[in-house]
Formats: sequence, C-alpha cells, structure tokens
Amino acid sequence: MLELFAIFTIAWVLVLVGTVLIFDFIVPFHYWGGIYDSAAKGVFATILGIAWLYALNLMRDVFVRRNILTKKERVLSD
Amino acid sequence: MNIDSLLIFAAVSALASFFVCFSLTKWLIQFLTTKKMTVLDYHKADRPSIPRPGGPAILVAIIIGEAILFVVSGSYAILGLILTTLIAGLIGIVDDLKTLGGIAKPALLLVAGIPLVAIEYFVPNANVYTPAIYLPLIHRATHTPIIYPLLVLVALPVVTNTVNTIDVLNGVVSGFILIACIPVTFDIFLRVLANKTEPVVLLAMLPILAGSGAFFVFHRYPSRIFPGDSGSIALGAAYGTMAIIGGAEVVAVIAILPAILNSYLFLSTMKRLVEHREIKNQPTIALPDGSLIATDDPKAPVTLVRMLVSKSALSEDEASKDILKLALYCALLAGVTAILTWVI
Repeated sequence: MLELFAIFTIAWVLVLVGTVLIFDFIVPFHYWGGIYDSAAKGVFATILGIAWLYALNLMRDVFVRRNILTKKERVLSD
Repeated sequence: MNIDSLLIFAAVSALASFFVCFSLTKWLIQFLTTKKMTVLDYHKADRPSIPRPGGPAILVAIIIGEAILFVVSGSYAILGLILTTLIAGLIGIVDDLKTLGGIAKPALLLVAGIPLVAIEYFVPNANVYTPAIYLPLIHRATHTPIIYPLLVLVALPVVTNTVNTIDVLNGVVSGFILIACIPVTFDIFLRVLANKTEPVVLLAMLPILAGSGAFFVFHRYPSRIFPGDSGSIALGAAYGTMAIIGGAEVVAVIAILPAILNSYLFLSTMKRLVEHREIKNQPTIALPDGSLIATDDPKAPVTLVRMLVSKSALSEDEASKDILKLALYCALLAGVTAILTWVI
C-alpha cells in the first residue's frame, strides 16, 4: 500500500515537473500559433506521455515485481 | 436566468438524478433477478448471483438531471454532455448484451465525442469547450486550436475505457468516480471564479455526483447489483466530458491516476487491447474464504488489485477500501494541482 502511495506521488510530481519544464521553460508554446505549433505541441506532449509511462513501468518493476516474485517464498516460509 | 433560479433548478436536477437512480436501481435489482440476468460474484465465499447491468439506472438518472439543467439554461455544453453520455451509455448497454471486443468498444466510443466537436463547430458561440489548456504553475493558457478537437475525440474513449477497467471489485467504480469528481468540481469552481467557465457548467456536476452516489448505495460492498459496462462507461463518459467542458483536463487526469495505472499496467503486460473476461491467466486467486491473493503466474496481467494483494491476502472489502483510499489520495493531489493552476 505504501509503495502505491509512493508511485502516485512520483507520478504526480513527474506531471508537474514535466509540464512546467516542457511547456514553460523549454518551449514557451503560449506565444505561438498555427499548425506547426500544434504539431510541435503534440510531439512534445507525446514525449512527455511516453516518459511518464516509462517511469511508471520502472516503478512497477522496482516496487511491484519484487513483491509478487518473492511472494511464493514468503508463503512457504510462513 | 438569474443565479438564484439556476441554483434552485440545479438542486432539483440533483435530487431528480438521485431519486431516479435510487428507485430505478431498486427496480432493476428485482427485474434482472427475475429475468436471470445475473453473474457470479467470485470474490465471495458463497459465490452469490448478482444482477447486472445496473448501468441503465445511472445513464437515465444523469440524462434526466442534465436535461433539466439544459432546458432552464440552454447551455450547449450541457447538451454536448447529454449526447456524449447517452451515446457512450448506449454502446455500454450493447456491450453488456452482446459483448463487444477489446478493439470494437474503444473504436465505437470514438463516436461519443463527435457531438461535442460538432456543436462547437456548427453552432455559433456555442462555448462547449475552450481549445486551451491551463497547466499547473503556468499562468497562461496553452492554446491548442487544432489539437484540442482531436484530443476530445480520442480522450473520451480513453477515459471511458480507463474508468471501465477499475470496475473490478464491489463498490469501486461508483465510489471511485464519486471521489474523482470532487477535485474536478473544485477546479471548475476556481475557473468560474476566474471567469473562465460559465457557472452552469459547474452545476452540471451535481447530477453526476447524485447519480453515482445513489448507485453506490447498492453497489458498495456487499454489492446488490453490478453496473456492468453500461454503468462504468456512462460514468466514464460523463466524467471525461465534464473535464472537457469544464476545462479541468489536467486535474481530471490526476484524479483518476489509480485507474490510469491499472489500465496501463494491464496493457503493458498483455501487450494488446483485450477484454477482462477473455483473460485466461487471472491476476488474483480467490481463496475459499473469499479473500484475494496475487497469482505467481508470470503470464497473468499486473493490475492494481494484484499489486494490493501481492504481500498478503485481503478480503474484497479491504481491497476495495484500499482502492478508494488511493482514489482519495489522488483526489487530494488533484485538488493541490487545481490550487497550483488557479490560486498560486
């Protein structure tokens, strides 16, 4: 349960840091307009989304797989 | 119409939604049981037969409540909400009766977003949505005039399917939406204060809260009825549409993080769109006493429930309460995000 709270906190921080980094500091999109701007926003948002999902994947491996894979040993030792 | 009259009608619409959902669900429990439209509740020791789907009660309740608001306000945003929820709910009913495939359902749900985009394009000054996203800590709108309509079409199937995947244990999907709606309502309220959204859009949240609240009374552990795909899809569509017409996209995404994680983990392990009922290797094992424990099967999908019961067995009641605790935590994070967007 604690691991899940940690996962959601990290995912939330990633959303905040990611959006601020990309949309405010790296590429200040709000000054732009037009189709190239839209395409660029789409690409950056996709990169942000993929990075976010990749991070979730890593967290799953670190937090979850370990528990599930060792469950058998725990049950046996219990 | 002045704000006082609007508030009175909003209260009427919420009460109507609550009582329609409450009485219709009660009637459906008897009707579906008589017609033998029941499924086994595998997570209980005695495996009781539970009537399904209760979704039509949720759908009718939300539509009636929103229709009252539409008649008195004439808001096109609410008309869009009604049409979107109706289309998605009907697709859900078809899925309950005929079982659509893992790809057919999201493909059909693409249609649900069309009314929103069509009204915005064809009706002058409809103000269904604003094609701009306000991000936390950035005090300017990120304008997305071209992408936004496409996002509307894609977002609705994604949100409805995501909400659909969290319908795993007694009381979870209705309780989850009830909790997730709170920060979204708060965010829309802050937008109304900032003159970015019309007050009637904020009031449109009431029938959804009332409908899901009334259904939760029967759906909570131990469930007396299951919502079925029609229920979870109608709730997901109404929630997703509120995020769009209320401009609360980011907050709405954060509020459903547990469902997103569940959906993502499921997809990342299954590597394809597949219906839950088609899975051969179940992620959890129901022990004879009804408690749940994670499977060791490496081919089984990783899901939120599997994660929750990976350390020790939990009863269904404990597991569903844990999911709702996670939903509350994410609702809190979403509320902070709303403050970071509109206050700080």
